[in-house]
Amino acid sequence: MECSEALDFLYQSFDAQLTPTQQMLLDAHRRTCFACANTLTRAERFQALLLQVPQLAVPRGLEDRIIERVFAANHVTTKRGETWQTLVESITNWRSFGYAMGTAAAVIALILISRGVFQQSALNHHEVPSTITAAISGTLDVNTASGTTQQSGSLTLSPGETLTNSSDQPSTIAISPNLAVTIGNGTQVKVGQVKVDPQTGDPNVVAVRVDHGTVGVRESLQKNSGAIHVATDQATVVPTGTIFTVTAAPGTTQVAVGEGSVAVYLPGETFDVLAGNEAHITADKHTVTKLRTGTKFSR
Amino acid sequence: MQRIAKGDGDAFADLVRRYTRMLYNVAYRYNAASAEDLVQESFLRAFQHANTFSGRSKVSSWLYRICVNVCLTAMGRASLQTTDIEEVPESELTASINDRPETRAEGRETYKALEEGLALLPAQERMVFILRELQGLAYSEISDVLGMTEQAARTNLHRAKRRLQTWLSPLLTS
Repeated sequence: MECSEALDFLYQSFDAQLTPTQQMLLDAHRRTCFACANTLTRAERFQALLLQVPQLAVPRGLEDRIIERVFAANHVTTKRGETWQTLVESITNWRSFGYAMGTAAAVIALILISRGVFQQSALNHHEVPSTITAAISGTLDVNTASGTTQQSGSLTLSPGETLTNSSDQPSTIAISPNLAVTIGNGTQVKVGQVKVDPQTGDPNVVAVRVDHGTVGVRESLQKNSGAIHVATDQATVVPTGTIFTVTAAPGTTQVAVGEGSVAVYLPGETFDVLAGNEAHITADKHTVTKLRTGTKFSR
Repeated sequence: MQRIAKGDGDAFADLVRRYTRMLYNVAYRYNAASAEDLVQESFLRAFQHANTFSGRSKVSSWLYRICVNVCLTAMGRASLQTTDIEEVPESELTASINDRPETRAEGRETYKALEEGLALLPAQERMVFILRELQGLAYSEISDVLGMTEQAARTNLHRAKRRLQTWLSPLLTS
């Protein structure tokens, strides 16, 4: 046996690949070649070392971080962000008032159900008033110091004015791509503080007081969280956030809601998914079930 | 895997909890500094391509294959920052390890020296070594994961061992 073969033979012996004859040749060479004997001894020590290399433990929280990252990476706001924006900007009706909205594809829109109750002092800030020009669906009667006008298409929200929906249909004010307020039919509200981010033009605060009727708020919390304050005689309500995941895969979409609520718009149909539930949507059906134990949401 | 392909989050979470350690050990031995990122990227690809899992191989083999590709791709990006152990003269390998405190220590320090040597191996040899010696895969599975013949896997493994044995020679002699 050549010295160059000895080490290969030894490695093969670790894999039980040597024939008895090859093993005899290796053993014989080892007895007669001092250099190879040392090399082979080191190789055996090396092999013994490898057997003692421990398996590493997984860093704390890594599994959760993986799951969160993968869910986030497949979230509607990143995979279908453009569709989402387009939808929000074009929403003119709201299912809570009896309207269904058709879209070309199954897209998801967020409707926030306000749950936080704040003190009425939220309306009493001493800040520079501002105005917001917003698109509206339907019509609204806008009462200011200079009189009452009926607005459709768009209106300017200004502090102190009163908005009345005297029609038999709800009207939605699309304040920003992330914020829409629906004024139910027969509802009257007063506009309180309106504050706009001078850099972006996005609303920082829009406060409305509900004199009577119903106001719905749909706020995408991608930004401007808490921008809308809705007050009544008893309370001021500010959205505190919604947490949900949307998982898109070929032929199916899963929507799991941790907090708040989302509205799911399908072609010709809309339904809500409330906190603690998840929806499974395919091309021909959808089901809503309780969240399975262990479902986690990133915050 | 079919459930994951349909977007079943719970099924995916089960997959992550079952195989994270396996992939983490591969990624860490391959590139300790980026191990977490490599594992996360591997699972992200697994989720996004779950519908391509044909069932012809084991799930673990499929995940190994994804992880290996992620590691090798990352290696490609960082190739300018690595040194091939073949480019380091044997005398320097021995001298450098003699200079380090690990030479006089055992246990954890020995493993650290092994990891340092691994980092110097050519990518393919390193991966074969990890899969065979540290993960215990059969040559047939390594062949499946890496897309090479079993004989090629053996050849790569033996080369890797020779180089690492040289790298660790002072420790092994003592």
